[in-house]
Amino acid sequence: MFLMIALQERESRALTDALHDGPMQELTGILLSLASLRRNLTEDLADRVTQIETRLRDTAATLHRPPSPFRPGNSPRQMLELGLTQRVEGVLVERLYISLDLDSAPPVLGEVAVLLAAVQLLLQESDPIHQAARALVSVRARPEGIDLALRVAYADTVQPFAPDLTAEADDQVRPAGIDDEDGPLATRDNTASWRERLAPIAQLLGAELRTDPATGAWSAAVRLPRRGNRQR
Amino acid sequence: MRNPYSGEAPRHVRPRALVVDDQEMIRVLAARVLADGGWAVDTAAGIAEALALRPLEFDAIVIDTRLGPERGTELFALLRAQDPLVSRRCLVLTGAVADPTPDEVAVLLKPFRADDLLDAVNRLAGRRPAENGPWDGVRPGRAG
Repeated sequence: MFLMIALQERESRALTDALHDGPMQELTGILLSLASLRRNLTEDLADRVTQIETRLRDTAATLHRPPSPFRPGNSPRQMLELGLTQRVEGVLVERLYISLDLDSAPPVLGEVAVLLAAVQLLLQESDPIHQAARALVSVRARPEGIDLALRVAYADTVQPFAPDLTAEADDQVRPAGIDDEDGPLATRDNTASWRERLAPIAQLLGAELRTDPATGAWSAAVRLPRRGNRQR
Repeated sequence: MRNPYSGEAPRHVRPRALVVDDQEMIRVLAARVLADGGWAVDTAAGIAEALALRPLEFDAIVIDTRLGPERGTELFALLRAQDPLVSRRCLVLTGAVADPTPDEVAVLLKPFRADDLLDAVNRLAGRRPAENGPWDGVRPGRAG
């Protein structure tokens, strides 16, 4: 899981480099060239070009990638909060709530990476197609271990994981990212396939999975053991 | 040449700016913008070329964070080792928020407008921002 986050970091750096060396250079060149052209225009036209320059600059600024959560100098809390808000919220879940109790025994970088990866894997595997509506990530770090609790709810179905009587007849796991004839919700409605998908991840993490038939939410609880002699 | 006491350039002499960027397009265009804004401009494509131009004698030093295989921050570190106050005369250009930049140095994020560049460099020398400065709430105007 640490490697998964390391890979994300590497990909992010590559994208940042590509953005800097390509589009941002070109856009800067275009903006500076526009200013040069503007000098020869009438006042009215020059004003319009100036407005275009400003819009272009402001639009391009939105393409900047945020600094890495694992930037040197960031505290474990900052790493985890930034990692969750950048790589989980808006990607795997629409709205993310975070509760961190880290101060008594803050996680080291590797543990933060594993926590982030665990949340990503559970959410991704629980529904490979849709974003969950809401999720609560709760982390409690203690010297003996780190407890991660993830609670997830979907808005578009009342009971997305309620027992499905037809599940036995249709217990095949559908390929990730592919909608079938039953529509995109069918994947999530099939409790059997949901459990089958999450089982390997849960086993890997040692996670305990639970569903709440009343609300359709599901939750996962993981205890990450810590070594006696932790190193950063 | 800077006045060693006031730090200001004599009024009868154009202030000097050094633009260090490995991208020729940016280097040439930035130099043109600053020249139009009243600066005498020299350019360099890398650290060695910049050092050969005696950068500490310039009133403003514009450095891209990425100079091909080199880092603009390395050039800045070399200059600061010789003159701890050089950060006041440096402007770092970066195309990525994630790029590490020294805290005490002014930073201009790419892409930027010509007016953004000129204003940022003018500020280094304590000059008035350009008439069309974007951060001063002044209505955009025309150069020339």
